[in-house]
Amino acid sequence: MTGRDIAADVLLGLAVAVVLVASLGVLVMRDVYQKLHFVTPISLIAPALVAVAVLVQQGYSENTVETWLALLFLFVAGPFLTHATIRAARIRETGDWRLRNDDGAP
Amino acid sequence: MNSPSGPLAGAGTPRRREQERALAGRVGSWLAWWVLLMAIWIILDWSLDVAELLVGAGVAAAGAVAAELVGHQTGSHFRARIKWLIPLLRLPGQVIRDTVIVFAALGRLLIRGQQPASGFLEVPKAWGDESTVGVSRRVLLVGGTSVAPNTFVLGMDRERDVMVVHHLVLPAQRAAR
Repeated sequence: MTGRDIAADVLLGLAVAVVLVASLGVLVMRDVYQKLHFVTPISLIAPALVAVAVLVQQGYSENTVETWLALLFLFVAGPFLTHATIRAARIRETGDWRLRNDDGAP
Repeated sequence: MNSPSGPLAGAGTPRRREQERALAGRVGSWLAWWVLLMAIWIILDWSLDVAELLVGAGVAAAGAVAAELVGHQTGSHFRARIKWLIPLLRLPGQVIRDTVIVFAALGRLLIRGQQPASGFLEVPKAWGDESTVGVSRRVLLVGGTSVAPNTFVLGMDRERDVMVVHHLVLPAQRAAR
């Protein structure tokens, strides 16, 4: 087993750990707003670790470039998906996404 | 007879389609789409064979036409300033810092039963204008602010010039909920 293999395995293990911990967060957090904060580690950070692992393992190759392209799509789409979801949840709960007086906005 | 609900056909203001948009602008936009799609084709196909490239060029051209048509119909186009890319450099560090913050909040909940001090905040942020650049700026603001896991944007309020965000762990001095 080479140093590259070990580094790739560590990165993949980290990615799995991030997903497991974030899943626990989704499970135990109080409401949809809090739970959503644990989606980003699953949808962005774990894939980034996997992409780095592929880069470390294979160097510049077809697999590496395609993995990073997929990561780019996740990076671009993820924040807007989260934004749309939290906005929809807020509108469903209160009828409007803007803050009301009792939200305690400063 | 019941009165109809919702907008009546022909009663509203026609969607602005930027008809005055110059042909050169449309060609430039189409070309940008074509280059982007062709680059993606080459990455995915991983071949510089002429036949493969010709197919890719055709598919990219069709895709660019579709993208430009949608942009024309909705009157939406993307135009960014180079200086807006500078905050992108801070994003990786911000994502790592926010990940530590949300995981630490999870740890405190699991170990001590302490709920995170989460809530909504209004962050002063100018709405800007309705130009292509103004709309693109707001899109990037919403997307860029929602990348790091501790902060998500609900929207930007045009009347109050604020951006409404939700934090899992609020900045201590501005706790709002």
